[in-house]
Amino acid sequence: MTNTPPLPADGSSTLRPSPSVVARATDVVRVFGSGDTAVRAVAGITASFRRGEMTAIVGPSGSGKSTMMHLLAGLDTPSSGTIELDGQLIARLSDDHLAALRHERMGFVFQSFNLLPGLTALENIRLPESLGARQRSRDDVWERELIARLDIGRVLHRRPHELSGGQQQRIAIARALAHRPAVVFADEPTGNLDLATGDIVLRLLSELVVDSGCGVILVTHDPRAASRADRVLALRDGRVVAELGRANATDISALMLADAHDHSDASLRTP
Amino acid sequence: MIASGGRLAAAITVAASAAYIVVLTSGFALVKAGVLSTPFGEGATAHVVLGVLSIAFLVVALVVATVVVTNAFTLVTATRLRDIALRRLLGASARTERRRILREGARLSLAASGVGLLVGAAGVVGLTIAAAAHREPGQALAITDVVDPSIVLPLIALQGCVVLAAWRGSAAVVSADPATALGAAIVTESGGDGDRRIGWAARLLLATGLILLGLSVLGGALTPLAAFVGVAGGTVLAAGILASATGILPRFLRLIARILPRRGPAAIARATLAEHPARTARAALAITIGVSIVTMFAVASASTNLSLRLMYAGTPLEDSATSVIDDVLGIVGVLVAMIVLIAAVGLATSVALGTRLRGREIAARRVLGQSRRHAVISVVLETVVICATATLAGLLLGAVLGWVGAQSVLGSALPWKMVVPAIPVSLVAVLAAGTLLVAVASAVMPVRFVMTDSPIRAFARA
Repeated sequence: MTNTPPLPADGSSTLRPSPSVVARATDVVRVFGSGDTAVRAVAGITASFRRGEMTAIVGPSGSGKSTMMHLLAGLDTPSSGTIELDGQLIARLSDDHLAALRHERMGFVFQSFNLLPGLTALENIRLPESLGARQRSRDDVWERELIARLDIGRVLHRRPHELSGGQQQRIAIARALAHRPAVVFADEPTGNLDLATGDIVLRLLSELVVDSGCGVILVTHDPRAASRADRVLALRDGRVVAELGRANATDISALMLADAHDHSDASLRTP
Repeated sequence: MIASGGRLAAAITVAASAAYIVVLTSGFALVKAGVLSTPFGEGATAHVVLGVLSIAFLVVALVVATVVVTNAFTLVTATRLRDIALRRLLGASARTERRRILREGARLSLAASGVGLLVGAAGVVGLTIAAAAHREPGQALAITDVVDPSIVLPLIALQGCVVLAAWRGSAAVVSADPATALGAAIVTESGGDGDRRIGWAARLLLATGLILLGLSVLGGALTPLAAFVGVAGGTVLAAGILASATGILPRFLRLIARILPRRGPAAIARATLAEHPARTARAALAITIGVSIVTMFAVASASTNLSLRLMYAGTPLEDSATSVIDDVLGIVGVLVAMIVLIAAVGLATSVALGTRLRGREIAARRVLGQSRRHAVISVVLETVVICATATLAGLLLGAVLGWVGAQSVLGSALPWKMVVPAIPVSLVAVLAAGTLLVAVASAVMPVRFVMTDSPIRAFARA
């Protein structure tokens, strides 16, 4: 890359990514602050995320997992390194491009659901259609299928405050998947749910991932939630310290605990 | 920062109201002294008119102050909900928490009233000097002409209103869930469905107010004492409107919002307008009150002027009559300006509250892919629709009340027993321009929020 290449306006890429990769981070660093108080929240992460796969990013608070998610979603800009999303380098995109990219290619599921309180469940599912610069067309067949599989047909005309947490999160999942995004970001989606409900929500999400062919990036510190993922990336102090395939909650929590010990010892030794 | 802003708004409002009360009572005392030396001094009409006017102005100011201080305390409470939840978690009862806010309200009210009293006194000294210069020599101005001991009553009433406002504004304390302090749960607004209904008490107030106003219009043809019925009717109606604002204003808003297109950012503005009836109504209320007061007095004085000019046309009293009216209008102008100032403070606090509560929603929409430009457009459209609705409502209400007031006071004095309604055209133009200005000004904060904040930072803070 000698010269800065012009931005591909139509979403085609100069990078020729492998078609199965929906997001890729290369040597990503994110530093907050400067000088003595600088904090390297993300200290050089290289990772890729594939279609039809749910990848969990786990780690204790302060491990950089949230920052990493924000960077991948284009909500924050890396200090160095590149991020490629659905074949586009997003580091140099303008705010409006990023908004359009989030609108068309990404879906979001939040810990606190973030449904608009004045809209009915169905209106919430359809809300993103009118958010972007372009009116998004609706895929009625897919919407009906989502509603059926998430079992929310009976509550479509209720408002969020009349729904249970699990129902709200299922509405949020329908909202995130309605436009068949390339990637769905789920930020502690089970954080406000009880264990059983959280389990159901994650199972639905992972099934839908396989069927819709998008990738899910699940950020969590809950080993149980992570055990639903196809792949687990463990983060500590802004670095990937371990990578597992599908694993059970015991293994994941053992990994997180062991890693915490190793690492605190290591950090004690370094000046 | 916002919490202290809320307290500041409450303090400014109380101080301005206290100063207003001082200026009002002394000003009217001065005018009374002035009127007695004119040929109108013998007539009962002038006394009644002045008495009614000063009471009406007091009531209006107390009502406005209560609304604005309630808003300010709602804002203060909203920003402290997390602290309150923490104290509740550690064992404080909702009652103690509310009492704490009440005590704070009372202290603030006393201190601000003191400041207001001093400012008002300074204003009165200026007014007296001006009046003395105006007088013919030999007509000394007695201290009793200026200082009216009955001033204590409205000042006490003001304290009562502030405490009431603090109580109502702190209602959210009850809903502060101790669990929110644990950090997992998110502070959410309760659904506003209950707010949309108009209670029977409000209906009763509205009906009573309208009946009293009707009676004062008819009675005005017989005696100026009908004005007291009119003031009572206006007060009851205002109380009814305040009690039902969260029910009435959203309906009005929905009607006006129909002009917005159903697609793009306008659709989002439509949705958010319908979403928080209580919040939107609070923001609109301050403008509605301000506009209706300005309109009320403009219409009342224009109608009175027109009617008196028609009545005294060609007689030597024509000039004298209008000069008394000009005196009154001079003071009325000052008072109206002060009320508008208080209402503007109210608007600013409502907007600050709205932005704070809306921050999370704006952030959520931005994360879901709304562009900055569209976020700005929907915020501006929202404020424009709120301001336009509030102005229209205020114009209608003020015009009716203004004419009723003029009719109830003056109807009997006119040979044809009916005050001719007059609406100053310039008023409508000024109000339209003012509304646009206010809409733009109140959109500045949310727009800056949208322009400068990354959605993630907004989330972290909200």
